[in-house]
Amino acid sequence: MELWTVGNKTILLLFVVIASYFTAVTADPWLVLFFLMYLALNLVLHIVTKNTAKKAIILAIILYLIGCAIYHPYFTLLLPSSCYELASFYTRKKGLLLAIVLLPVLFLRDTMMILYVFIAVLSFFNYVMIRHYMGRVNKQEDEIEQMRKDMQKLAKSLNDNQDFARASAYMVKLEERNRLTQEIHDGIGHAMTGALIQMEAAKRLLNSDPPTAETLLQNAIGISKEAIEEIRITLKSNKPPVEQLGLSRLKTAVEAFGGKTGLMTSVVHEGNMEIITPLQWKIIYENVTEALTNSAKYSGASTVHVELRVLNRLIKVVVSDNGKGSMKIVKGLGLIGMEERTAAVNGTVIADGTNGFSVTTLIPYGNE
Amino acid sequence: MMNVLDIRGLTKKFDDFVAVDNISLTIREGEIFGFLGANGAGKSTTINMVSSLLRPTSGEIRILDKDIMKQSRFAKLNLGIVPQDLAIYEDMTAYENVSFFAGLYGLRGSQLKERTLEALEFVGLSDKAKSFPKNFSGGMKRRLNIACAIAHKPKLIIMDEPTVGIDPQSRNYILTSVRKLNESGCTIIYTSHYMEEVEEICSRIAIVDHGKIIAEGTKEQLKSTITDVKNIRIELKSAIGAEGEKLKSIPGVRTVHQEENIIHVHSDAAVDNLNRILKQLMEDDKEIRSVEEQEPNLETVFLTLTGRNLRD
Repeated sequence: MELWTVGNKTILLLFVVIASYFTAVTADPWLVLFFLMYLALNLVLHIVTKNTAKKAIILAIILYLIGCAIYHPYFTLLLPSSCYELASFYTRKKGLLLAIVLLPVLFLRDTMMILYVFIAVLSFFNYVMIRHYMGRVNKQEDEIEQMRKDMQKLAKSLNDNQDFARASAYMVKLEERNRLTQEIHDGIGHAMTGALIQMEAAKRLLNSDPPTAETLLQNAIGISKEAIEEIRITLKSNKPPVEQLGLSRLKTAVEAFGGKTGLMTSVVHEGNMEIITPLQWKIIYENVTEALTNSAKYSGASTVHVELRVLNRLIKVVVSDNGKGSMKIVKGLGLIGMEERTAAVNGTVIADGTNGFSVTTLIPYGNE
Repeated sequence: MMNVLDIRGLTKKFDDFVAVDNISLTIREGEIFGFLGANGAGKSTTINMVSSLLRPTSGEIRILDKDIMKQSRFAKLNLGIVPQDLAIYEDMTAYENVSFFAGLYGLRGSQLKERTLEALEFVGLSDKAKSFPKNFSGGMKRRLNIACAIAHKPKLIIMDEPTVGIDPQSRNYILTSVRKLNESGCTIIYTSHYMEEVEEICSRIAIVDHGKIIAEGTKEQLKSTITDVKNIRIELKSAIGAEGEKLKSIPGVRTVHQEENIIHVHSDAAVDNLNRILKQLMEDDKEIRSVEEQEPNLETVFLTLTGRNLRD
């Protein structure tokens, strides 16, 4: 923007210098001094950095030009560009600005007046256009900045999701290990200790009281058999399935929500829940809770229904209420959040307000 | 193969309302691409943006690999649009109508005349060239509307609900001409909320709902997002014995379930085995009364994915 103003001023100054050179009969050293002073003041303007200082200098230039104008009318021609420069700090009302800049017309006559009006208007357009384009450039820079931030945010949530998937896989393993340790300790450990004690006793009684020793040994054998059976069962019993963790967590959350808000809730599921990965469970869980919150806040509904269906290539989750719905859906932060989360696993979210309000999450799975 | 249309992240907002929501789509040469969705799903808005009638809020559209904003002339010359609302002049003859629109695309002189006649011939209105559309039936007007869009031989033709409100005969005529156009090398985008039409002629389909593409692919791919299984119900004249077990060995058959004289066969939807099943039954001298194949259709797909019917 500065370069444009400088160019504008230079052209005007050259014009004024040439015009005064050709109209004057003899060279006027005062005039030269004034021009140089004007130049000097303008240079100072570009040296200072503080806005207040700049404003002061521009004001000084304007006053200086008015002073000079009394000596020689041509100086008025330099006024408009300085005035616009000053105005760019303050007002946005362009019409008012033009009117003020055109004020000196009252003091001018004939060709000077026409010339002044011409220059004032020309500079005005120049000024308006530059401001317009600068505004657009600034806006676009802001947009770029915003997009950069969004991208960072998305990258972060992607990372978070990956971390979560890793962490939850690890958690399942840990839980599994815990459970095994516990079962070995509780069941088999105790049984083996019991058997051992009986065998020790049998060993002592072996010579003195063979029949009792035999009973004791028989007990030990029985306990050992049971323990072996128990080991088999422990090893065979399924590890805590992820799908049960996911589904029961979802159900608990929905029920808790119903209890808190007084809404009737129901959860239905269909299909093979095993294929849902922990990351998908997380997204489903978050989308459902978000949709439930929305229903409670805005819908005025009395029941909310959650449906989870695993189709052939798609997981479909629907949260629907019987509330007033909305013919025109305006995406709020909640909905945008759901969309972003779901997009991370190539899914889609559809919100529909035609019959109550429903939010459908579609997540593809398996290889296409 | 070349991409005739490439859409990336296309969005259109009207104030707060998002009519088209971040759609991405690629249409390859030689396809008849179906755009299936309920009224107000965003089909027409998308099409209006592709045909430069609406300015996208964001996103990019490329026709034959050229950005339509930057090279709009190229895009327009390669695009023919059959709008949903008839765009013909009632007080000009059919010939004049076609010739007028072709002229807008830069055709001149003998070429203009030739192409105009060709287009009228194509839609079967040669003998009506001198008549005025105000005397035409709905179907004829639709056909004239198509002629206006194809005279300049565009690479990509967009047909926005071309069969709304016309008689079955004209509808068949239009569907046939869509196929003929496609065979002559045109890529076609066809929007409709008539599921049967889309299922019949389109090679690839996108299901649009609330401004989003919720599923995309061939008919088979779309159906398989829902299920891989088809149900075949066969009613026989008499009850069946152990013969039913034989059906299980036919490829694709998963389970066979019998109740008296009715057999239910669950089978892979992708395997065409109905003939073999029937043949097997006939070999066993069973008299067949009726056969019903319940395969998921696009309507079921739409219903399952959105929870609503296509024509609500």
